[in-house]
Amino acid sequence: MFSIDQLSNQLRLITQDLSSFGAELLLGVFFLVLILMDLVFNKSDHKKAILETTSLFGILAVAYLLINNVHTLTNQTLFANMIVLGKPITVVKLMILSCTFLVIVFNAIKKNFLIPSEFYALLIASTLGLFIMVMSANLLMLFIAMELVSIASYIMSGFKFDKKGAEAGMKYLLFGAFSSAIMLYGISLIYGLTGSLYYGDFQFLQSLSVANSKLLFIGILFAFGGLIFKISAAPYQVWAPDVYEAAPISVVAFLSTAPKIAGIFVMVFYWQVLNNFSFSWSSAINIDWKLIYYIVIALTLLIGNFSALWQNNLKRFVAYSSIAHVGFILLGVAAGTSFGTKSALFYLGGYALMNFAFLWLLEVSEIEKFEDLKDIGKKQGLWAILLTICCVALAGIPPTVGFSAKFLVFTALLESWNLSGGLETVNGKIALLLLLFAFFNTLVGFFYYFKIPYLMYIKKSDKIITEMNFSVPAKVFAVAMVIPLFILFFKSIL
Amino acid sequence: MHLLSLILLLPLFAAVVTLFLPDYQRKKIKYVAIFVATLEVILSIKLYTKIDFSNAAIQLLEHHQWLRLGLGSFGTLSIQYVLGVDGLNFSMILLASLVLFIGTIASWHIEEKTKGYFALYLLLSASVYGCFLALDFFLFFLFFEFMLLPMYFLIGIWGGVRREYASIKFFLYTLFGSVFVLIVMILLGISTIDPVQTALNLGLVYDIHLVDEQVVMKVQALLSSGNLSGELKHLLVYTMDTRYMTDIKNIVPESILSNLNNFTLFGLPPRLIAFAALMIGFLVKLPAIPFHTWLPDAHVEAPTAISVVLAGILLKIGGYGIMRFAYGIFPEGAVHFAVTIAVIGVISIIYGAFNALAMKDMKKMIAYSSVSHMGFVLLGLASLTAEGVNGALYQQFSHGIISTMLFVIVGVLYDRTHNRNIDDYRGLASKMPQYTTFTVIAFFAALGLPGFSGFIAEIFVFLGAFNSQSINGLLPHWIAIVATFGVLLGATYFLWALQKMYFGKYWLKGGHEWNEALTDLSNRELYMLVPLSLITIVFGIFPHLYFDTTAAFSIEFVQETLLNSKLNVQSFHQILR
Repeated sequence: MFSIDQLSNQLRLITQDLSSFGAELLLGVFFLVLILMDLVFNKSDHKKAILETTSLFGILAVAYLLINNVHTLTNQTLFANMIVLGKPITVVKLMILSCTFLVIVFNAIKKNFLIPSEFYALLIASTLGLFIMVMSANLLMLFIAMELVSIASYIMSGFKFDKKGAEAGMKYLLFGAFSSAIMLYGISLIYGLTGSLYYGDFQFLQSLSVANSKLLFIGILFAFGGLIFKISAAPYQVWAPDVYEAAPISVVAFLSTAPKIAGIFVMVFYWQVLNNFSFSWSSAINIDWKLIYYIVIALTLLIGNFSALWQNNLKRFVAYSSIAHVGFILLGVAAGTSFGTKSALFYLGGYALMNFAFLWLLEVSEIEKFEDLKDIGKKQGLWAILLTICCVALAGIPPTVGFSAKFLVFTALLESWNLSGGLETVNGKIALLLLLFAFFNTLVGFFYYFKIPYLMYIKKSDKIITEMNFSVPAKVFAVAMVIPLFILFFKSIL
Repeated sequence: MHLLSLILLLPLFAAVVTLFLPDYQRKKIKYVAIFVATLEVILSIKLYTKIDFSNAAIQLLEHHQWLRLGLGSFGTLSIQYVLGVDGLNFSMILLASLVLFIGTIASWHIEEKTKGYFALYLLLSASVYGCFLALDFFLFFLFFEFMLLPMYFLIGIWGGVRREYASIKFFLYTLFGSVFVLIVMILLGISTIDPVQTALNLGLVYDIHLVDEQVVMKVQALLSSGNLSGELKHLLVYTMDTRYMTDIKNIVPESILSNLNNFTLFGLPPRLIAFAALMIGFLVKLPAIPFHTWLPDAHVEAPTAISVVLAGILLKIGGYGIMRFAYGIFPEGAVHFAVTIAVIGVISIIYGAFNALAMKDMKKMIAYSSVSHMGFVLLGLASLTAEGVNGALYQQFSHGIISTMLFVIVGVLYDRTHNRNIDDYRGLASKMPQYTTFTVIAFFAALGLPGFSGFIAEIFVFLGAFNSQSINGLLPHWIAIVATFGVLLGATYFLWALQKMYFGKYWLKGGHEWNEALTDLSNRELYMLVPLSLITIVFGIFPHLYFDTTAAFSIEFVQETLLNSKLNVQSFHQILR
C-alpha cells in the first residue's frame, strides 16, 4: 500500500533526477518534433533540408547539454540506481552523437538522395536508445534500451524499398526478435537466481557466487548473447552481411559504428562483473569466463577475416571487415585493464572514422561490386587516392590511425597478460595464442584490403571507364574524413 | 645542426611538392626528383665531415618527445623521435643517397603516370632514410612498414608481365616478417624503462637536464632490487628507445624479457625466442635462405630503377636491422645462435650461387647472386670478430654499388630489346664495345676480383670467419672452408654468362630488328655506369676510406656484444655487486 508520503517522495526524487537527464529528454523531444515537422512540411520542396537542419540543430543542442551539465560529469546514479552517469559514459555518448551527426551530414551532402523522412526521427530515437544503453545499470533498463535501438534499426534497414531491402529487413527483424527473446530469458533466469537486476550491485555479486552455477551459466550466456548480436560478433554475426548489403549506405554507416560503440562499452561493464567468476559445469569441468570470451574473439576474427577474402560485393565486404574489427576491439576489452578499455575505445573511434570515410567514398561513386573498381585509378585521381588511404588505414599500416589503434590494443593485451602471470597459467597460454592468432589475422587483412587499390590501379578493365563528377561539398567532406586518419596517428587521444 | 632531420624530411617534402605538379609537366617532375637526389648526396657527404669516426658512440643526436601513453597503474609508455648516426648507419646513408640518385637517373624514361611514380619514389626514399636514421624502435618500425607501400605500387603498376603476382608476394612476404618484428617490439616496449624519465617521475631530480650517470645507476638499482614494483609501479616510464634497450639493467625484472625468468618455450628462454623472432623478421628482408623466394619474382618484374633500389639499398635494411636491433638488444642470442646464423649464411652463399648458375633470365641470375652475396654479410656477422663485422659492413656497401651497376647493365639490354634471356644473345662485344667494358667491370667486381671492392669485403669476411675459432671460439673452421667454395661458384655463373652473351661470334635471336635496336650506351647510361665503376675501383684499391668510418664502431660492437652476452645471462645481483 502506498502512502501519499511515499508517493510524493518518489515523485520528488524522479523530478530531481530529471535535471541530469536533460540530454535524453531533449532527444525525445526532438524525435517528436521531427515527426511533426514531417507531417507539417510534407508537401514542401525543402522538406529534406528543413528536417536535416532541425536534426543537426537538435544534435548540437544535445551535445551542448551533455558537456555543460555538471551532473553528467560526476559519477552518480539516477532513478533509483537504474542509470549511471560519469565522465567515461559522457565521452562515449559524445562519440555516439558524433556518429549520428556524421550520418546526417552524409545525407545532407548527397543531393539526389531519396530516403523517407522518417529516417531522421528514427535516427534520433536510435541515438536515444544507445544513450540509455550506455548509461544503464539495471538489466531491464539495458533490455528496454536495446529494444529501442533494435526496432529503429529494423525499420531503417529496409529503407531501400526494393525486394532485397524488404528481405534484409525481415531477416534482421526475425533474427533480432529471436535474440531479444533469448536475452530476456537469460535476464529472467539471472533474476530468478540472484533476486536482483542491478548488475554490479553488492546483492547481485554476492548471490552470483552462491547460485546454482549451471543455471547461472546458461542465464549469463543467453544474456551475453543478445549483446553479441548487437555488435555483430561471432557466433551471431550472420545478419550483418545481408543487412549491410541491402540497406542504404547512410544506414549502414550508422549501424556499423554507433551500436558497436554502445555495445562494446556495455560489454566492458559486463566484463568487470563477470571477470572474477568461474563456474563449474560439473565437478570435472571448470569454465572460466575468460575462456568463453577468448573463444568468441577467435571465432569473430576467423569468420570476419576469412569471409572477407571471398567477397564480390563491396557492402558485404564492409560488413565482414567490420566484424573483423570488432574482433580486434574485443581483444582490448579482454585485457581487462583500464588501459585496455581506453585502447578499445580509441580503436572504436578510429574505426568509426575509417568506416565513415570508406562508406562515403562508396556512396558518392555508387559502386557496388569489386569488378566495377577495375582500372578506375586511371580516371579518378582524388577519389582513388582517398580510397587507397582508407584501405591502408583499415589494414593497419603506419602512419595511420589503424596502426596505432591495433598497436595499442595488442600492447594492452600483452600488458595484462604480463601482469596476470604470463605463461604460467592456462589462461595465459591461451591469451598468447589468441594474440598470435590476431597477428595472423592482421596479415590476412592486408591481403583483402589491398585487393581494392590493386583492382583500381593495376588491373585493366575491358569496359569504358567514364569519369565521375563529384560536387565540391562531397570532395571536401571526403578529404575532411581522411585527414584525421593521419592526425590521430601522431596524436593518440587516450 | 638538424642535418639528420633534413636528410629525412627533404624527400618527403619533395613528394608533397610533386603531388601538386600537374601530370603532363614530366620534365619538371623529373628535375625536382633529380635535384632532391643530388641534394641528398651532397648532404651525405656533408654528414661525413661532421662525424668523428674515432668515436664509436652515437652522434648528431636529435631527440624530441612524441607520444606519451598512460598505461594506468602499469606506468607510462613514451615514444620519441630520436635520430642519430654512428659508424653503422653512416655508410648506409651514403649508400642510400648514391643508390637513390642512380635510381632517379634510371627512372628518366618513365612516361606513364610520371607524377605518381616520382611521388612514390620520393616517399620510398624518405622511408629508407628513416629506417637508417631512427634510433627509436617504434619510429624504425613505422618506416620499415611504410616502405612496403610505395614498393607495392611501384612494382605493381610500372612492372613487367607478372607484376601483380610479384608485388603482392613481395608485400605479404615482407609483412609476414615484419609481424615478428612487431611482436618483439611491443614486448620490448612494455619491458624497458627509460631511466632518465623515470628518474624525473620518481622525483630524484627536478629537471631532465640534471640527470647524469649517478642518477641513472640509482634508478637501475631501485629497479633491480624490486623497489619499483607494487605501489611505485605507476611511476615507471617505458620506452622504445634502442639505446636503453641495449642495457639489460633497464629491463623490468618481472617482465617477460628479463633475464631472470625461469620458464622456457620450446626449451629456450624468452630472450632467445625474441632474438630468433627478430632474426626471422630481418632475414626475410636480407634475404636469406629459406626466406628468399620473394626476391627473384620481385626483381624480375620490377622496372629497372626499382630493381636498382631494391637490391641496392632495401636488402641492406635487413642487415642493418640485424646489427642494430637483434645483435644490439639480445647479444646473448648472437652468441648462442652463432653457428646457426653462420650456417644459414653459408647455405645462402652456396645455394644462391647454384640457383644463379641455373637461371636463363639474366635478371633472375643477378637476383640470386644478390642472395648469395648477402650470405657473406650473415657469415661476417655470425663470426663476431672485428674483421668479420667490418667485412660484413663493407660487403653491404660494396654489394650495394655493384648490384646497382649489374641491374643498370641488364636494364640497358632490356630497354632496347625487351628480352633478358642469356641464350638469345651472343658476341655482343663486337656490337656494343663500351657496354661490354662496363659489363666486364661489373661482373668481375661482383665475383670478387682483387682491385674491386667486392674482394676486400669477401676477404675480410673470410678472415673473420676463420679467426673466429681462435678469437672467440664461436665458429668452427669448416664453415669458412665451405663458404670459400661460394667464391668459386660466383665466378662460374658470371663468367659463363659473360662468355655466352658477350664474347664469340655475333648472333641475335631477334635478328635484324634487334640489330637495329642495339645501340651502344647513351649518355644517361654513361652517367650511371661511370661513377659506379669509379666508386667500386676506388674502394677496391683504397679500402681504408671505408674502414676508417666503421673501424671504431666494429671493434666496440664486437666487444660489447661478447661482453653483454655473458653479463645478460647472469642475474642482476651479480652485476650490481
